[in-house]
Amino acid sequence: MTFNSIQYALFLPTVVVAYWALPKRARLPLLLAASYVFYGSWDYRFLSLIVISTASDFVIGRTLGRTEEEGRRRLLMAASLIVNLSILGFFKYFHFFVDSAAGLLTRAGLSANATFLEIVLPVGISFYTFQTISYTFDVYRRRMDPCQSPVLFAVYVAYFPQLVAGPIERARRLLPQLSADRRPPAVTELAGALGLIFLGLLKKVVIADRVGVYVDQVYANHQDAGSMALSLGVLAFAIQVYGDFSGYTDIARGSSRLFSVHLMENFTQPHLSRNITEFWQRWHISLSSWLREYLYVPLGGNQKGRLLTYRNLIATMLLGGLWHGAAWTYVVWGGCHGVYLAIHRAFQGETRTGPQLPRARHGDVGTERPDLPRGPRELLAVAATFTLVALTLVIFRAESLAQAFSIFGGLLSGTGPGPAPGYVVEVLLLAALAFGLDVVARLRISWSDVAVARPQLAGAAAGLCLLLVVIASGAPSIPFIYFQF
Amino acid sequence: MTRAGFLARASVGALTVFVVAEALLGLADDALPEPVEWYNATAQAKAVQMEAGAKRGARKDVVFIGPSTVYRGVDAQLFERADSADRSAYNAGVKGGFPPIMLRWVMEEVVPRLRPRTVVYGLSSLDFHDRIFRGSVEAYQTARATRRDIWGTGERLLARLSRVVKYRKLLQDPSEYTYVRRVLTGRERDRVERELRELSPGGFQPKEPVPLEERRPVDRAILRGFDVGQRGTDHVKATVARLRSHRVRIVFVEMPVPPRFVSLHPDGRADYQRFRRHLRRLATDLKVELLSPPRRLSEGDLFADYVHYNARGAREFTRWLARSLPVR
Repeated sequence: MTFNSIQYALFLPTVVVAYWALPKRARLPLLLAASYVFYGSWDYRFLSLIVISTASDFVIGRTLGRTEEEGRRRLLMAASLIVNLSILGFFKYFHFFVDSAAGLLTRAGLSANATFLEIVLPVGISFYTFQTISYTFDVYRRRMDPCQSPVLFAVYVAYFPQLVAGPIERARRLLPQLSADRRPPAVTELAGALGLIFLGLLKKVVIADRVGVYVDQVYANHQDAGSMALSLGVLAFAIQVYGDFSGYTDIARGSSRLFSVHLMENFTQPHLSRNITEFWQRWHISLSSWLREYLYVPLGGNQKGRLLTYRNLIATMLLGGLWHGAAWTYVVWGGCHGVYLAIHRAFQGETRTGPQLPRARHGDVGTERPDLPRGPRELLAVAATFTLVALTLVIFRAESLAQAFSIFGGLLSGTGPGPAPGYVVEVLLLAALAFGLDVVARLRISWSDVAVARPQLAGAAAGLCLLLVVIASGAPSIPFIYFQF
Repeated sequence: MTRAGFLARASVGALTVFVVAEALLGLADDALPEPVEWYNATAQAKAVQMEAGAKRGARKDVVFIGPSTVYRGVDAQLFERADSADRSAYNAGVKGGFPPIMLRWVMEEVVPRLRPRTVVYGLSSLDFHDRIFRGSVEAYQTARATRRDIWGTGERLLARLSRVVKYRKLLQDPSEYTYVRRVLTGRERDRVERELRELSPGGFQPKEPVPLEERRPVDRAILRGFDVGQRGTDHVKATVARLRSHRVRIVFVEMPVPPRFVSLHPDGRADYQRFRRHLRRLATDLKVELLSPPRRLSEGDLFADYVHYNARGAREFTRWLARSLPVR
């Protein structure tokens, strides 16, 4: 049941109406049941994994709350990591490590028979695993009290608007909202929620899925594509992955607001960033802030000298890459970004103290909206940052490093057949729409207030979104890219 | 303002957008080309042609099925003239008609309309090259006429009520706008109508020679990563089983291919021989007659491109079929 499916269009209003119609004590159990139904619609067998993660971290969290002795607390934290990372490691990384080890042994002249199991990747496993780990870590570090209600904690882990692709919420932000005595969304809230859902659908169905058709073609036939066709493919994938994931996040946040629960922003116009550091403050904020808080800072962050800072940045981003998937392409993609961040920090110098990864202050990182880039120098910086990000995404999208290098070679060749004119027009129009939406989002306008003041106009905007969605849909459905992570 | 008041007013705004869009398309309705409801215009034209035949109560003795190699390679009218047994025939091959599509196309469209006595299934190594199926199969499964899920039912219903839905494919693809302009200015005919005019009554349309420059990218890409795949095999088996359940006789024909096509396989002749052994084994396992054409029908000058016959090639192949297809 994806967010752009007819099933979800029926499921969400049903749950929202039932939620507010029920007495308060029944609302959390309803939300939990709805979340399990939502997740079970992919594969009910994987519900057991969520239940194991939930039960173990709930028990460990409560035990941590009663334990003062540091050695025992460390053991409990380690137990949580072992349970969660074992599940994640087995389902997501088993083949990757076995294949890589077999490859190394073969190169060393030893015979190696890799073991193959039919392992299906449970949808969203990386997201909810990181979410439960962050809870236990926060309780371990005494940043928050353990949750006392198993139902509340289970909803925190499985809350359906953000279960399968985030944002990766922190317990200290989401638990208080879920447990609070909330009221149905006021008109302004309702307008904001519906606006986010329509905007998300527009980004996913109209922008991402349409450019995705070209991306699939150009990557499948990259050996026959000329450099112009490949360049358009590089641009198209940068637009696709952004439209797809930020569209998903918008729908998640809009859906959640209907329950009066505010999820954190995950993208704040990253393609308008002036440099790579700013990009990572605005791209997949919930993951990059998680990595900063639970990996980069524990590694020493930028407190142990310049070289160790670079090491920490690169190590964090390498693991961030591996988080996306069990393939060397993701590792290299993450490593490249680690190197970019280190280089940018080196050139930035110690006097400019921009954070290297976003700080997680209850998830409100990166939500400030700076002015739009002005003047040729800033515009050039935005264009250069976007180009670097888009080129690095070739590695992210490629099926292998060999394919990525082949595409880079094709890009540099300067020859070969160009793209069909229809695709050029379509990709450029959709790229302009994606950038246009980001530029509008940077304007300091409260769209909820505008919608309430002019409901017919807001309705017309929503109608236009829906009209475009109706027109654009019907092509082969492309699943949300981040569901596979 | 209350929530209900807000939703009511916003709905009016949203509805206005749809009403305006419907009205604008209504103004252009008569001039716009008829949308292609099938996965391509050829399939739609053939469905129309077969439907007309079915209304006349025509039953075909022999129906040829397969992808574009069959569609471009068998002139069913010539077959009828050349066949000493005087059998009626129709070419139900379609572009991109790979085995997963053929299974549905034959069982849902061909058999109910033509009620064939014998089906001749033309197969080449392309039919077992699973990697190239995806695009065509998805297009078939999501085309308005052949989509089988709740979306398909809803869309067929809505297309009758809403012009936005009816013309969705035209509106969603900017490259279609130039086609619409050519139709509006009379420079091009409606696609389905054009296909119907160009199709012979037997469902055959010869292929014009394709310039080498245009062929080259397709030639290089088409057989990349070739392997004799399970998906194609399974669907061929399923088609045979389903046809037999309708008491239809099945004959396999190994479609002739030029030497250049053989060389396009990653391992050249070795790959092609592997396909031939697979086809022979499949025919034996399924107890299906297999016809293998003589080598002269694979000469390069009989082909319009890397694998499709030109008009002369189609004539020679059809005459050979008429002589070689045994009467039951």
